[in-house]
Amino acid sequence: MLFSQQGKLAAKLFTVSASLVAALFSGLAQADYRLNFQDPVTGVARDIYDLHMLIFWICVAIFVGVFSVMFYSIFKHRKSKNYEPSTFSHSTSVEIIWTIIPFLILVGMAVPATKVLIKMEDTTKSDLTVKITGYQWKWGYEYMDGSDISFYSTLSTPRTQIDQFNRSTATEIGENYLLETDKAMIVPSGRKVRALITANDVIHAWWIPAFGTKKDAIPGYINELWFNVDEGAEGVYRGNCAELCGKDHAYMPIVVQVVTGVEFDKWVAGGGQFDAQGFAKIDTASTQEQFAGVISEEASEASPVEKSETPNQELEMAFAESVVEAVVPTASAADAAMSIEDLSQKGESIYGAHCAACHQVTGAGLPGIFPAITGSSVATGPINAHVKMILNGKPGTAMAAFRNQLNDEEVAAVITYQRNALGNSVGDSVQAADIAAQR
Amino acid sequence: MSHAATAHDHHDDHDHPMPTGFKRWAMSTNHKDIGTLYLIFSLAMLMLGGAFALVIRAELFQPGLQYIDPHFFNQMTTVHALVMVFGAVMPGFVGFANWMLPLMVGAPDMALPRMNNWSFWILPFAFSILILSFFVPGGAPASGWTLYAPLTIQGGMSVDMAIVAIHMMGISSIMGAINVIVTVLNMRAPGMTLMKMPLFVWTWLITAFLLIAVMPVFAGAVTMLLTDRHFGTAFFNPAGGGDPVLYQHIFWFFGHPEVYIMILPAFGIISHIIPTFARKPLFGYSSMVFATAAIAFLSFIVWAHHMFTVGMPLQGELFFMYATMLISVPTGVKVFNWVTTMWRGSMSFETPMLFSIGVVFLFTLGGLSGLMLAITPADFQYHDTYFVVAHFHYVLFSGAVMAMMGGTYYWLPKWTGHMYNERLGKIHFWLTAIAFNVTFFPQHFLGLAGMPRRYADYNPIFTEFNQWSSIGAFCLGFSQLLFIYIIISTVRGGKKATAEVWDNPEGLEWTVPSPAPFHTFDTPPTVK
Repeated sequence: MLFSQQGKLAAKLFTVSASLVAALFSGLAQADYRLNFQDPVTGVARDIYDLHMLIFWICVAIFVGVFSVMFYSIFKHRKSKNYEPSTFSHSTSVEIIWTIIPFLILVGMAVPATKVLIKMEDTTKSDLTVKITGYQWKWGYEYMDGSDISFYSTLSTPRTQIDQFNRSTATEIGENYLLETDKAMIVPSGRKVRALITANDVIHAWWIPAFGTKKDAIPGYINELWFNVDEGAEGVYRGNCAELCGKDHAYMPIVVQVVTGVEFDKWVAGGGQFDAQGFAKIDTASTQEQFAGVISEEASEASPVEKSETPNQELEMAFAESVVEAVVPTASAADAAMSIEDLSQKGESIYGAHCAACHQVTGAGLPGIFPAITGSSVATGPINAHVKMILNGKPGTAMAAFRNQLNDEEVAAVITYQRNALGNSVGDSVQAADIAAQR
Repeated sequence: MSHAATAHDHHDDHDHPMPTGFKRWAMSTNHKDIGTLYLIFSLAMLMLGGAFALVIRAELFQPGLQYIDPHFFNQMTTVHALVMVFGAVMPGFVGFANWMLPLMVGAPDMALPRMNNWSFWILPFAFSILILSFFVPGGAPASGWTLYAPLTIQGGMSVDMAIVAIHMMGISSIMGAINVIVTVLNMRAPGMTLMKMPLFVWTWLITAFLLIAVMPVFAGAVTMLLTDRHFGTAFFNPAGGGDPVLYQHIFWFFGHPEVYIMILPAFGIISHIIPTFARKPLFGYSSMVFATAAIAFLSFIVWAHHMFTVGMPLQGELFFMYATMLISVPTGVKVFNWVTTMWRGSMSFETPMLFSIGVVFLFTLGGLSGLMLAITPADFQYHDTYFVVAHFHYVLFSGAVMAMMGGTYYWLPKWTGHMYNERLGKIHFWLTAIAFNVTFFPQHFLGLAGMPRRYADYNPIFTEFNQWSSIGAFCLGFSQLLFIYIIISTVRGGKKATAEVWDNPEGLEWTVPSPAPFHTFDTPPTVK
């Protein structure tokens, strides 16, 4: 019966789904795709890959074995072929066999898995330690070996690519869409890098597939992981936050640039500077060329905000050695008093990087979860309360304390921006020195 | 369903008149009516939860945000899961238990009929509260169905509403479980020893113990969350010295037995269907019972495999890896028993059998990806990706939900007195099975290639398989309208069903007429 009427029906459905498949492959296919893990670039990632494939093939073998028996039975032992049913209903010896054999297969899987796990969890004898902190919704990196390098890394994909609600204002989605940041974590190849992972607000997870590492970043905990990228595998590796952390969970990617040990030492010696694309600014022409292709591709898609920060971008691209200054304003620039306009102008990009995820680019917030800046009692009330809010945050809510994330000038700029833009026009401003006094 | 209007005809051994309308349904103490209410509720929640899933799949059809913002997306994933787990799957199985357990053990009704009424009628109110949370400031809960702290501590008023709703669902489940245990242990027909009980009764008995053991744990966890949010405690809030990982341990101590709560009754259902259509007794009855008990026991000591990445000590990771791998032994025994039941039978392939074969085949696929997930080093890579999403939909949809669909076709003639349309039933099966695989099989690839779950947006490299998945999801969702049509038309009419319905099936439920009279087994049958 299954293969008379039913078979015809199944055949029809198969034809329909096959044509659907064809349509998808020809018409809708936009990008290439992967079926399996990303290519591993660390020893542990290779071990995991091999383990994964080993278990996979064992599972395939079990699946094929069990179901070839079942389908043989379905074809042969059917009423429509007048097959006479047997009446047997138990066999202790068979039951024992199919309890013991799977158990032995499991032991065979557990042995290599245990070996890899022990290796993964051994974080001793590292060459470099980096503290990684998850924030809603960005990552902070702090190099722990006396180099004093620390920075935040936020999504650099322009908003116009993400918001496709209105096709007329949207721009085309780029190759590294949602996998690009304003600053990459810089690590050396051939050295054991230990990461201390924590979070500031809610749980995040730091994940680079090609390294075979994933660990939750939990507030109040310091987790550890390590990786040692193969020499010769220098390049850019991309990953994601893997633990649901609120609204912009999908918008806090991780980018790691792996450079050679020599280049890394130079980068550290140079104070850990970044070029306009968020990669290591190292004082040799040779290393920059490696990324020149990526840079020129991405430059054409850079957002207006990014362009205003690096006005001579294209020119500087041509001379890889003279990359632009790092975007981070230094506290020393705050000596002189600044006008409302200057502060607001600086504040706009800081607002975009640190505030707009919740309070929205327009300052309207999201009713019920993230309050509006426009017309808010804080942003239009006494300025000292405003400063305190930015520095200390609001416990129990998503409003983070920015005292350690922004320097005095940045705090002054973003406060001035919030009070004089986004529909507010209080008309006052605050200087970096005032912030320093209030810390 | 109005089957009992016809059932009324058979109802001649009681003096009081048959209640109607509000009195019949809202004040019912009859296990069949309450079972019907549960099943209708479950089907309604399946559709609602499915609608949420389609919103998710529409947004994920292309990279970029086309229809909804990420916050609403998170609300959709959260409420989809809560509705499916607590609204569709659990009440669905309670519906089957209500209808079938008394019929299978030869009891006149459930042991505690008024509590039975209460445990059902809590549910519509609980889910109204959950759904109303969409309309409070900030919208519905958006922290994932696991409600992990400290993200839930940040959430709006909807989290409190979800907590209240979960408490109500928990009370309902616990009362349902008490009813099952009391009925099964006290009201079996003379001669029906424990080891003669049908497997659906066995799996539900064990499920009921799981429910009683873990629902209070979940209630405790969400209550601690509530006091963290409003009463200044800091169980889980690191800002006050609390421990976010503690929440996960408590949650998954509930959460892992919960997944067996959702699958063991499904094992029971297909253990009835396969022997009937293979025309051969179930192979290895006692090993099936022991395997079920073993799975239930192991389910209490594997919870931390849901949280390998939180940074447990190596010894902990090894323990939970080994314990998790062990579960595949009793689960494997079950699969081998089903296949051996088919072996040298005389099979026919009516809709319930198609669904059961589908369950054995697809659940096993999900079980094998579960074995892959148990391998801790590899799990670090699979964890929180679409590989996990694919895995648990293979065990939950093609395990639990498809088993319920098979069970519906199997017992619908007994419930309504009419045969369903076999041709439409088969079409429904093939549409469901194919659309399901188009939806979820590509998600394995997405996960392996590195697409995290609970993402509203993704890199274009994942576009291809997301499109497959979205197209499959819409086909899967709309195919279920056929299911509803088949049920309604079977309730309304159709070929009269005999008492046995199928070809010599085993079990006391086939000794009563179809449709089963309003009151059955007033005098207990005797089991040899």
